[in-house]
Amino acid sequence: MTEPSRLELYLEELKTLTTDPIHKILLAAYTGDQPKESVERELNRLLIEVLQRED
Amino acid sequence: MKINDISIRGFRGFNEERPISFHPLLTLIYGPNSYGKTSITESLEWLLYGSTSKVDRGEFKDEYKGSYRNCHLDVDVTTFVKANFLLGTDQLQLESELVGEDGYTRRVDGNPAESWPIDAELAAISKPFIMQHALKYLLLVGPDLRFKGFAQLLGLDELGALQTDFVSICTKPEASIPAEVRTLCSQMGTFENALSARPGLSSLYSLYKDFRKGKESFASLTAALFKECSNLVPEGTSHESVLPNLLRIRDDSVKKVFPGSITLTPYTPEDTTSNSADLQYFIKVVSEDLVKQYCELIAFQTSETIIRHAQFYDLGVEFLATQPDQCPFCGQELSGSIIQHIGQKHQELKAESDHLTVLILQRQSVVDILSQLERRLQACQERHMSRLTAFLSIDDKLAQLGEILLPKHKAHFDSVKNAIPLLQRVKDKLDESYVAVTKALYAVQLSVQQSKEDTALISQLGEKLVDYASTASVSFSSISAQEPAMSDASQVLKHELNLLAGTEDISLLIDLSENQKKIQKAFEIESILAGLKDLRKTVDQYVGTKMLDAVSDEMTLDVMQWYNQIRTTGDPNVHFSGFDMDRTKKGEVKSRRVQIKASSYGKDLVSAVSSLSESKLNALGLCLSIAMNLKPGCPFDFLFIDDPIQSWDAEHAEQFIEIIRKLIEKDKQVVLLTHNKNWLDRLRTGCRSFNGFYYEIVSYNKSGPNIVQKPWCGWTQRLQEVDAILKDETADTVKLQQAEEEIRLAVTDLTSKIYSQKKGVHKDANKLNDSEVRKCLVECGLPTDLINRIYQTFETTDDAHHITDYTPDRERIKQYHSYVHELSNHL
Repeated sequence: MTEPSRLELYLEELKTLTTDPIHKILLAAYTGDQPKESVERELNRLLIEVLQRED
Repeated sequence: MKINDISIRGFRGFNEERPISFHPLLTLIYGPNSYGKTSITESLEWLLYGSTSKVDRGEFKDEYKGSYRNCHLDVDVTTFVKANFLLGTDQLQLESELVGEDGYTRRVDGNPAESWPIDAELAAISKPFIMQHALKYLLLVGPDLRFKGFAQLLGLDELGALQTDFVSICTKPEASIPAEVRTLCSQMGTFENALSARPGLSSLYSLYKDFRKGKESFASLTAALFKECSNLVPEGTSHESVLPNLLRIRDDSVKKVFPGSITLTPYTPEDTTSNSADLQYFIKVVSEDLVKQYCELIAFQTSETIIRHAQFYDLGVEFLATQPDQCPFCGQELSGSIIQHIGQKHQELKAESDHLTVLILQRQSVVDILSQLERRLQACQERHMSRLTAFLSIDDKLAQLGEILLPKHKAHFDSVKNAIPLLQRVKDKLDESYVAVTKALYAVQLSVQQSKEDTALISQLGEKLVDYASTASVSFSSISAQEPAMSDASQVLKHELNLLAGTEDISLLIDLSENQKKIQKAFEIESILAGLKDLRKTVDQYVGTKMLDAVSDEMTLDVMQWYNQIRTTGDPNVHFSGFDMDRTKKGEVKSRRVQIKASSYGKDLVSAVSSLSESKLNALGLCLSIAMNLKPGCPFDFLFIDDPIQSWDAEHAEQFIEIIRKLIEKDKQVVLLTHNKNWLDRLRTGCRSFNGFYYEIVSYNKSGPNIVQKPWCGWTQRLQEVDAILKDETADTVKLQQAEEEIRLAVTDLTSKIYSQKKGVHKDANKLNDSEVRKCLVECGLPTDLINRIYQTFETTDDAHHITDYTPDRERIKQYHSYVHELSNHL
């Protein structure tokens, strides 16, 4: 198992500082070569999910 | 990692190749301004990092284009920088050749390489260069740039990038909000505005606002909404009938004013998908395969005769089975050839009959395709036609519509008026095309039914289908293009009709009731978006605290240690007092605000950066650079310091000599470049025992700098130093060791000079050892007794240099001192 990177450690610490599940999801999405775009995509997905949810 | 030497050709101020060797402890390079000193530092920076700080920080990159290559370098000569490093006991050679204006090719130990084996370390730590004014710029730049600079220095740049990204996402989330979500959220605002304009619904308005602020639950809102709705329908109306009753009341009232509506229903996403799929289907359905299958059915016509013949021969075969040699009708005997003929014919017809089964299946397949085509044509036609028909019904009520909308809403009225003939033409064309295609389809279906297939019919169907697909596509575009304007006009009409019919409250309550789920979703979405502010705050606080931890304790102590070294007793007590993070009035850390603290006679200054003198800022920048270069984990054991004491007074400059000594004591290999010769002479005296390398750039021309190595220190100075140590009764072992080392260096220096004088050949004093000294002195014809005694000095001076349990002997040192004096008499 590889050691977590510094960025991963920051994000793990940040996740412990919030109780909002949406915020935890967005923080977890901060990965890859274009982390900002990845979070934006995740936010977009979350909003669409609310919009299309069958009640 | 230490640096052994560097070779520079064609880089910046260097033209012809120049090698420079570095001393393991201290190398000093003197040169007047513009003699190419900084080019040495920059060449190494470019070699290691592929660019220089000067170019990286340049605001207008164009001005630096091509600046790496020396302008006098011959066109066919390449620019390169090559350096040899020591990694423990291993050698590492890095070489970089300039390609174009700022590209390069690299070699490691002579082999082509894509990157350096030390690239990971290079990215993680401060550069081993302290350029002019060092990191002073970081103190003077704006808060954001200072934060970035400090984050980079402290290896926290990922944290800085993380914070920048989340600030951007949380404060400007527009890029992540889909259009349909934006529309939904704007509807929430529309409802709120409409409620605010209805005094009769003020309590609902107040509740709606509280709901949007999160102060009221969705259940409270829906209960209040239902209560308002119930008040407008007859008492005793059941829960389920409230909304239908309201709709009926509103419609009845409105129809009395105007019985029509402007309805051009937008296509749903499913409609759009079906439409696109249908158009592709229509164009492709009349494929080569279908035409082939259809044409093969023509064979059916002949096959029917075959079926009849086959049945007859089947009967014949059956009779032959019971009475094989007699005719079943007349009893006449049958010849063998007739029986054989019947058998053969039966086999042929059996094969034909099998083929017929395939054709029957094929026929069914064609019938199915045609039926499916018919159904899809109907669905497609209905999709467009229902919208057009509903909208065009407004045509005969246009005059009445004008009375309601004009003159206040002329633009909306005109858009409806203009859309009617346009969409009427679309409808007519679609009708016409549909009739033509269904007619062609019917003809094909009939031909199959009657086994009268005709290739002309199927190709005509193909043509009509293509025409219909094109017309349906135009209808889709036209309706989609007109729909937004018609929707706006419809909203305006609805508003005006409610006004005229006195149904504004009812209408609004209906809208709210019908959109309850949407309101709930919009609220949830608004909550998510509003919550991003909290996420930003969480990230801000986290990053700010991390940065505070990094700058306030260890970094402040490190920098302060060096800063105090430069302070002199005569300094006014106005000084740097540490790093901190700026805070809000509530005491929360501001994430990107690194603060430079200073105090004046014990009192904290409001603006530290503007309060410190220029020279103190220079000193602070320098100390910051030094502290960063001494952080644990830094792979570089060397440090290039370029003109560090500009604008310093003599006393502070003197203090800096002690800093150089301390850096070397901390195992740093220092390469110092300066234009201040007097200070360099004092530095050499102060650091005489290091016996480093000293270079002077004596001239500069098109070929580049003329760099000459000079003696570190003269033999007379060394003997004076030995004399002083011997006279000092308190001199400890370290001092006495130094005296022995000075004797050895004085001997090599003197030997080099005597040899040069007597033989006319220069011998580098730094490269002479005991046996070479003996050999040189023998060649110069000095007395053997003196040569032996001089040789003897190396026995213990070498011990002093290398052995840890060496014991100094004052008397012996005195003797050696006298031998060297005797040697100097031969000069």
